Order: sequence, then structure tokens, then C-alpha cells
Amino acid sequence: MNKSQIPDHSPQKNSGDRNLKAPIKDFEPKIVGFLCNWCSYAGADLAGTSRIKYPPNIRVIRVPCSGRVNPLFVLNCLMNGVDGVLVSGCHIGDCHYSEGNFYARRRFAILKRLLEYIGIDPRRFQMAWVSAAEGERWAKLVGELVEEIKEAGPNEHFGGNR
Amino acid sequence: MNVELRKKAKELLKTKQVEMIIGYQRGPDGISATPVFITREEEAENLIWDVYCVYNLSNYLKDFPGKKIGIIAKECDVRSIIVLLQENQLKRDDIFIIGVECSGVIAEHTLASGKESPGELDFDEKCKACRPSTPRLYDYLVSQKDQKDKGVLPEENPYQDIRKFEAKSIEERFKFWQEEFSRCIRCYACRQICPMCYCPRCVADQTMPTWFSRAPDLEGNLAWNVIRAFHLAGRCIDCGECERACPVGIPLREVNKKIEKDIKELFDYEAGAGVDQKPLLSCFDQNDPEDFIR
Amino acid sequence: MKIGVFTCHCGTNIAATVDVEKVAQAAAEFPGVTFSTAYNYMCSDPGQNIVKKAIKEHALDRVVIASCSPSLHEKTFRKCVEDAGINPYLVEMANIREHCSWVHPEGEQTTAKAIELVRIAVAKVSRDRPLEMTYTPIEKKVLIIGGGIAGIQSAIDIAFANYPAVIVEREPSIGGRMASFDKTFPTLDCAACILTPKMVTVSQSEHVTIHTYSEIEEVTGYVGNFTVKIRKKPRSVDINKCTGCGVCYGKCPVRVPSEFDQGLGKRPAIYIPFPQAVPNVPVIDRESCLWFTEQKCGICQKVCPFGAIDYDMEDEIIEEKFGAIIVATGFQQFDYSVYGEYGYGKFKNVITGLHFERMVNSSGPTGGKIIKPSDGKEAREVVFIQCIGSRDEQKGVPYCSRLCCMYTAKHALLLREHNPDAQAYVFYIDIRAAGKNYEEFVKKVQDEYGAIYLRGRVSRIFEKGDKLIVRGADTLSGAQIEIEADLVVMATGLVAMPDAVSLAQMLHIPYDQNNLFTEAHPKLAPVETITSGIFLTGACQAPKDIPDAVATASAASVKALGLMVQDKLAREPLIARVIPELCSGCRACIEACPFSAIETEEIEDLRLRRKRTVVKVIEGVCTGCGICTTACRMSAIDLEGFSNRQIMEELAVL
Ligand SMILES: Cc1cc2nc3c(=O)[nH]c(=O)nc-3n(C[C@H](O)[C@H](O)[C@H](O)COP(=O)(O)OP(=O)(O)OC[C@H]3O[C@@H](n4cnc5c(N)ncnc54)[C@H](O)[C@@H]3O)c2cc1C
Ligand code: SF4
Ligand code: SF4
Ligand code: SF4
Ligand code: SF4
Ligand code: FES
Repeated sequence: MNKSQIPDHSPQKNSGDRNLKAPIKDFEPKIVGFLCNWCSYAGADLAGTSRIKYPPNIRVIRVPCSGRVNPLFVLNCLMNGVDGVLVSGCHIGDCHYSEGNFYARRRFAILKRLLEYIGIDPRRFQMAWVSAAEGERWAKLVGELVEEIKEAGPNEHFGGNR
Repeated sequence: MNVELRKKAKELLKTKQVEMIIGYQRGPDGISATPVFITREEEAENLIWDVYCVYNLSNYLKDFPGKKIGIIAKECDVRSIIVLLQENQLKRDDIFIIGVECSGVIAEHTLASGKESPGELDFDEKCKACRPSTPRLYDYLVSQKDQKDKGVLPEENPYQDIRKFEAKSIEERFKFWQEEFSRCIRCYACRQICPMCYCPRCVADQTMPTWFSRAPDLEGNLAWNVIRAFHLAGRCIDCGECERACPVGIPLREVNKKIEKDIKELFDYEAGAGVDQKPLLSCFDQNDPEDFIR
Repeated sequence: MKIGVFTCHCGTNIAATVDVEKVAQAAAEFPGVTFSTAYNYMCSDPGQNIVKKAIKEHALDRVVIASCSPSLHEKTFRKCVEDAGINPYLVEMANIREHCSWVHPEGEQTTAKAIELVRIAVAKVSRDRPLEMTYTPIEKKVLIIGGGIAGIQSAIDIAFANYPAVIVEREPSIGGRMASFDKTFPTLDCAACILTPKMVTVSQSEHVTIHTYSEIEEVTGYVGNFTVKIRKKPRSVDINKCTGCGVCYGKCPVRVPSEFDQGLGKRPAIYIPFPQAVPNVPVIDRESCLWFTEQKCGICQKVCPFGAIDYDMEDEIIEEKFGAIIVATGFQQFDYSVYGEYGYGKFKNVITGLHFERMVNSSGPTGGKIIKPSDGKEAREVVFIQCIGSRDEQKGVPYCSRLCCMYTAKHALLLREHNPDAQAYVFYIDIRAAGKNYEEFVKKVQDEYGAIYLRGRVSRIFEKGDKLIVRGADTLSGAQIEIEADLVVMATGLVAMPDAVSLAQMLHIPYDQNNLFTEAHPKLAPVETITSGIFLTGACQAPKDIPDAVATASAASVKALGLMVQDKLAREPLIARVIPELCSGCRACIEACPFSAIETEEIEDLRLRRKRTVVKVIEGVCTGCGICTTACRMSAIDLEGFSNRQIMEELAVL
């Protein structure tokens, strides 16, 4: 890395070891899901209508389309200490607006790799396609996410301000 | 070659093809180059082009809307002009690009080390990745080269550093960037100097809503540095100005280049390829990779 | 801000696992909430009355309903609060049934989640903005592109409802493919007998304007308000002076192959494509006319009694406004010259179905005789090969063209009718005769008209003397077959027009991998496109026979008329909104919007004291997908109903 010669004279606001605690697996992770209205949200509705049980850790934010999800929303969640973020839309070809999930796929392919690069656990940001018919899949997905994020431990790096 | 450059500049001003020329002149230290804005023919004598002309002058172009501007631009600068043209921030007819052949410029920080002659100085990192050459777009080309040795050698293994860093453990990566970003004082010098950060009001300054912490805390700094780099995806042409401008020496190019590498791998996209190129995030391919999606 | 929260028991649907009263109590403590209650069925009339009454009594200005999915009752409660005098867009729903009570067990966690969901909804509603339905005017005129049977039927339907329709047809006459047929399956009506009256009806209708020999040059605008440039190619004959007497083409010395007759017959340089052409006005083919190629002749001008010939006529571009557009550009035949085994289209006696249609037509180039084009002798042994280009992923198109089975059966029947000694052999892969009386028709051809159906592919055709040897396999008997044929007829598939893609791009409508135009929904919106105000009919969307083409034509007309009858177009206000001060005019949003709902605009920037380009949303076109909002780095374009502030507020209380 091309490190600079300039001495570090900035105020040391953040102590470097806020992150180095051992992961605690025994916790209830908070997960935020951005679900497109037409497929994934309807798929989650179907899980409900079919009374398929899954863990209560997810909070759903309804958006018209996966193409509406701004990376700033995702960052906001992670910086506020949310343990996991999910963006879910229609399967490719099924987007209600025909192209929204193509844009989302591109955008989040970049963001996901970038977050990993700066050291954010890849399990904390995930993407899925869930159709309106996949209630079962939705329930299973949430179950898996909760397990994975429990493995990853609480998002202790951030949210210290809250 | 400065003779040819000055002659062309005079001609452009004389024939009123342009109202102003943005170029380089020798700085007060007698070595480095600084930007100069000339409107009169006689001032053209001050123009220089050599290995010390590090700056990307395209950032100044948008400050003179409606004016005909001539600009001296090397390959990397031209790429940023192309992006600005793609994004309708410039009108092609309003600018006259005096292209200069470039075989690499010097790394500014080695200048600070007291060395002076080109032979002793290092090439800038950005040049190693750029394979500098003839600019891909120009209206007039100053053909002769000003060379330092044989010019910069192209990087054998582009993105090698990035790959090495990617191979580190997640904790190491986090620790590294946390330390780097923790120094950020949110001066926004990186934004100020970036030709692509021309937004009327940056998301970092917005309050309805406030997108992330405006204080230089870990959360705010991380969000800022991630979103700055993300907003440059498919637009950053690696002129390296942000990193040069950052007063606390955060290796911003290492974030930018990570994205540059990824979009090349994922979408075969290179920023500033041509004026007709579509913006990376306003287009897609049916077969874009989605192995990361469940 | 006075927010009212209404939590629903939904009988036991919610109350069984969620402590509803506790949710109501918790909600009362949220910032901005001044009233909170619970009731058994919020959506019922008494439930809605509780909401209305509370709005009045507690002067509520925003409402949260904690109940089921918004997909079920969002509309209900919008209406409900509107009745009580609150803007309908100031209500939010917390989905504590589908997303909570039904999927989690009874217990504290489930109640806690329900409370969280209500907290999020309260946060969102606090950032809601009152919105009004928007209205855009409608230009009461329909453009129909393509004047085949589908376009003609659409025009008739629109005109019948007393709205004006304009047909733009590329060829010198309307009529499309059907005009060249002899008889039509399965009823064997004569094509001209059923098509001509329709052509006459449109040509005489006071509501229909027909631009033949014309093409679409440019389309801008949006539903209700399209501006279309139409290029009228120079016919070289003044349509207002010509009476259709026909003296000119009788005297023209030139003879070139006739397109209408598939090259089987010849026509002069000044010609009408076929006797029933509408308009019945000739056109000069400048490629073959001696006046244009060699600057001599000029006979037609001399003989025309009405002085209608005008060699100096030039392209004319007219601009018109339309409220809706119907695309009816039809199909072309698959070019079978990609198949080496069938002689690459080089054998004279291998023809296509359209050639056969002309031959079998008693007013056609052969007077209804089925002949061998090589020597003009009558053909006796005729082999028909189905599925040419269809169902062939390698060289053709993957889909079934749907009509080839039927028109081949028709041809086999007509062959026998025209020449009782003739024998038809049909090579097929499957017989697909799924239409009313279609299966019966094929059976009749097999049983009563002696057509021999052979299931299998033809492996090779080659010339031997004046015969064609057709080699193939009958996969049912396993036998190798070789037929000495006089004539081979290729049942070529139906494919998109060569210019389909450029037309689609001009109209901003999507097309599939086969360049066929894509409907908005394959089942529920088969004649709509995702571009509102543009509809599809006929074979440009997928292979269709005449009954289907006509049915979709009437369907598309109804959709267009549905727009015509409205005073103005009502639009949900949940659409994108630009904040001009933040916009840099970079156009990232314009590139990304799938609906072309954003355009540029010049504004006077007060701060910079100069003009600046920014963007604006076309209200009538925006669908509210929000794709633009993420294309915009500077968040200069936001989405009503799911705004940045709303979503960030939801996240803030998590
Ligand atoms: C050999 C054969 C035999 C058939 N026999 C039968 C039968 O017996 N019974 C039956 O039901 N069906 C039959 N069909 C099917 C029938 O041809 C179609 O159902 C029918 O023609 C579809 O009508 P259409 O209006 O959609 O398209 P078309 O008939 O193709 O008409 C489209 C019109 O649009 C015009 N056009 C195209 N592009 C443009 C443009 N860009 N601008 C302006 N104008 C344009 C064309 O010039 C044409 O006039 C047969 C088909 C074939 C190939
Ligand atoms: S220049 Fe450096 S310190 Fe200033 S805002 Fe950018 S990254 Fe932070
Ligand atoms: S960081 Fe993003 S929002 Fe800020 S100026 Fe740069 S591009 Fe614009
Ligand atoms: S919300 Fe969707 S349809 Fe509307 S302008 Fe934005 S991208 Fe286009
Ligand atoms: S709204 Fe945003 S994306 Fe669209 S032109 Fe303006 S700045 Fe660019
Ligand atoms: S509507 Fe579901 S992804 Fe676009």
C-alpha cells in the first residue's frame, strides 16, 4: 500500500480495538430486509397466509422495487449496528418494472465486494430473489440468515453512538 | 515541445477559438508545476508540459460554463473529460483539448524528499497502472514527448496490491481501514479536487435526510469513504488527485482501484472508455454475474 | 402532528399470538401519537367508523393501521381516512398479521416484534406528504402502425366508437399478407371476399385517415400525448387527382417481378400492387422507372388524363399528435436459404407457402394453376415440408409458428381442388391444430383429400432431371422415403419484421430474443406493452392466424378507446419527483428509467444566476418504480410514498 509520509495528527476519536471482542453467538440478531412490493413482499405475505413459521428477527421495509434500494440505506443500517441487511427482489425477468432488479444486481455486486474489502463480514449484507409464490423459501431464507448472522456475531463495530 | 505547445496556445487565443487556456506553469519552487489560466497571447510563454505536470486540470473546466476553453490534457486527464462529457457536465463544442503525449509524471511526494532531477524521482503510482500514451481524445496533439528515462514501465501485474490485500483476513482488513479512515477529518479535500464530484449538494452535506453521521466518527467516516468510492464506480479514471489532496494521507486510490478492478472483472467496464459509453449503473447486461445472490 | 394508531385483532388471527392491547398501549407512547386503540376487525364497517370517529374527535392528521398486509387493505384505509377528511396518502399500515402473528409463535417476542413494526410505521407516517392524484390531458386520436388485417380491424373498431384513427402503412396499399391469400383456413372463405369489404370500410370511414407508402420517423411524448412524425414517401402520383383509371400502368413499357406475386408474375414500373388495393392509386417504383433511372420515357405522364403523375414529388414529413398507439406491423416469412439440405433457396421448384398462395389464386399470376416455376408445367406430385425455421434453436427460431400446420393442410386441400390428379405429401414433426374446427379440418384433408402425411424430417432435396428428389424418413413406420416431386412447398415460419427492433426502440417498447414485441404480461396484459398508451395486435407480438389477429385487434382497440373516453388521465401520485436544486443534469436517471419518464429541462438557477439543465419527471408516464432514485448519486430525484426521508426515518427507529 502506498502509505503516506504525513504524520497522523488527527484526533483519535475511535480507539482501534472496539472491534476485537470475541463474537457472542448467543444473541438475537436484528436483520433488516428491503423487499420489493411485487415479489418478495408478496412472498413473505404468502409465508404468512400459509402459516409457515420462521424466526422473528427480521424487520421488513417495503419498497416498490429492488431497484429502489439505495446503498446508502444499507450503509445506514450497518453503521447503526444492525446485524444483517437483506435486499430481496423478483427473480431476473420477473421484475414488475422489468428492469429494476438488473440495476440492483449490478449495484450490489459492487457494494458487496467493497464492503468485504474494507472488512465487513460478507454475511452481514446479502441479496436474494424471492418470488410471490415462494413463501416457503422466504421462511427458510430468514431462518438461514438468522443462523448465519448468529455465527457472525453481533455487529459490534458500529452503532456505538446510539 | 513547449515551443509547439505555446505556439498552438497563442494561435488558439489569437484566432479566438478559445477564450482561455488552462495549462501548467512552473511553480515558485522552480521545479514543480502549478495550474495557470491564460487569456492573453503573451501569457502563453509561461506554459509548460513536462514530467512535473501532475495535476488533472479537467476539474476546472466546469467553472466556466458557456465559455470556450482550451485545456492541456494528458491521457488520464482526457479520460476524466470523457466522463464529464458522458454526464453532460461539459459541452464538447465548448472545449478544445490540447492533448499531450505522456510517458508518466513524477510522484509528488518524492519531490518533497529534496530530490530534484527527474532521474532521481519516482513515477507516480497512477502512471504505473495507466500505461500512459497518446490521449484517446484531443483536438490538437502536441506530438513530441518529454521523457524521463524511457518512461514509466507498465505494471506487470495490475491490481496485484489489491489482490494481496483481498487475501488478508477479514479482521486484518477491517483493522487496516478502520485505522486509515479514523484519521479522516472530513475536510472533503478529496471531493473538492475530484472532477467527478460536481454534485450541487453532496450526500454528505444533505440533511433531509441526513444520510450518515456528519461527525468524523468511525461510522460517519466509513460511510463517507465507502459512498465516495461507490459514487465513483465506473467514473473514477484514476487520476489519483483525491489521494494526493488528502491531508492525512488516506490511501484512497486503494479503494477506488478495488472498484475499478471489480467492475472490470464483473462487467468488463472501464471508466472513460468513450463519449458514447453508458453510465455503469444506468445500464446492465442480462447476464451480469449473480453468484452472490441467493 | 397528531397520529392515530389503530391495532386490529383480526378475530384471533392476530390476537392469538400477539398481545394486541399491549401493542396499542405501547403505540400510544411513540412520538407524535396522540391516540391509540385496538378493535376486533378494523376493516369492517364498525372498525372503519372507529377510525373516522377518532379522526374527528381527536383531530388526528395521520393514521397508522396495524393489521394485515397493505396489499389487502391499503386502498380500503386510504378511502376510509379520506372520507374522514384526511389526505389518503397520510396513512400507513403495519403488517402485523402476515409478517408477524401468522409466522411466529405466541409469546413476548412476537408481541415485541409487532410493537416494532408499528414503531416503524409511525416513523414512516410522520414523514408522509399529502399527495394529490395527477391528471394529464388526452389527445383523442389513435395511431395504428401497419395496415394488415389487424391494423384494419383496429381502425374499424376505433372509428365505430366515433374516435379518429390514422393508419400508417409502409406499402402502397393496406391489406397486409392476407390480401395475397386465396382461401383461408379452416372455413375456406375467399380471403379477398372477407378482406376487401373491411378495406373499403376503413377507406370510406370519415374517422379513418390512411397514409400508405409511409413510415414512422420519430415518436416522442407519452400516453395521451404522443407526437409522431410520419414520413410519406413520394408516390409520384397525386392521390387527389388520380381516379384509378389505370391508363398509365397499361402503357408503361417496364416489366419487373411483382412483389405481391412473390416474383411469380410481373408488374410495370407504375403499378397498383393488386386489383383491390386501397387506395386504388398507382405508385411509381423509382428503382425501375425509366424516367428516374435513365431520364427518359415519361409515357405515364403523357397518357394520364388527369395530370396526376408528378415526377418531382418529394418525401413529406407530417407531424401529428395521438393519445394512443396500436402497433400492427405483422411478420415476415423465415428465410429458409440457411438450410443447405433444402438447396439454400436455389432450386426453382422449391417455393414457400406465400408463393403457393399466389399460384392457387385464380386471379393470381398462374390463373390458379399449380405449376413448376422452372418450366411452367402443371405440378402433380407436391411435397410440403412443415416447421421450416420453426422449432429450430440452431438455425431458426425456437418457437412454434402456430399456423404452418394449418396453412399446409389448406394448401394440400386446395391442391386437390385445383388439380384432382395431384398428390400432396406432407412431412411434419407434430400436427398442432389447436383451434376451433382446426383438428377437424386437418382430418378432412387427410381423409377426404387424400393428402399423405409423413411424420419425419426431410434430410435432403436434390434436382434430378426436371424432378426434385425429396429424401426423408417416416419415423412412424421407420421407412426411408424418397419422393420424386414436381414441386416442394416450404411451410416457413413466421418471424419478426427486419425493422422490428428499430421500431421498438423508437416506441420505447421491449422486444424479446426473437425481436417479437413483448406484451406487458403474457397472461393478464397480452395486448398492452409496459409503455402505457402503446398496444400490440396481430403477428408482430407472436405468430397469429387471422382469427387471433382480429381478436387482438379488437382487444387493443378497446384498450385504446378506454383512454379515449376519459376526459383526462388520472394518475397515482406515488411517482418520482425531482429536486431541481440538487440535480446536476447528469442524466443518469434518464438512462436508467425503463419507461422513458424523465426528460431534461432548462431552469434559471437563481444561485448561480444562469440557465442550467436539470431533469423533470413526466407525470403521466412515471410508474413509481424508483429506479431513478438510486441511479442518482446526489439524491436529486426522490419517490413519493417511498421517499428517502420516509425510508431513513423507518431505519432510524429500528
Ligand atoms: C402462407 C401463409 C398462409 C396463411 N394462411 C392463413 C389462413 O388461411 N388463415 C388464417 O387465419 N391465417 C393465415 N395466415 C396467417 C396470416 O397471414 C396472419 O394471421 C395475418 O396476416 C396477420 O395479420 P397482421 O395484420 O398482424 O400482419 P400482416 O398481414 O403482416 O400485416 C402487417 C402490415 O403492416 C405493414 N408494416 C410492417 N411494418 C411496418 C412499419 N414499420 N411501418 C408501417 N407499416 C408496416 C406491412 O406492410 C403489412 O401491411 C397465413 C400465413 C401465411 C404465411
Ligand atoms: S480528503 Fe481525506 S480527510 Fe478529507 S474528507 Fe477526504 S478522505 Fe477524509
Ligand atoms: S461523494 Fe457522491 S454525492 Fe458527494 S459529491 Fe461525490 S458523487 Fe456527489
Ligand atoms: S420512478 Fe421509475 S418510472 Fe418513474 S421516473 Fe423514476 S425510473 Fe422512471
Ligand atoms: S436527477 Fe440525479 S441522476 Fe437525474 S439528472 Fe439530476 S442529478 Fe443526474
Ligand atoms: S418489482 Fe420486484 S425487483 Fe423490481
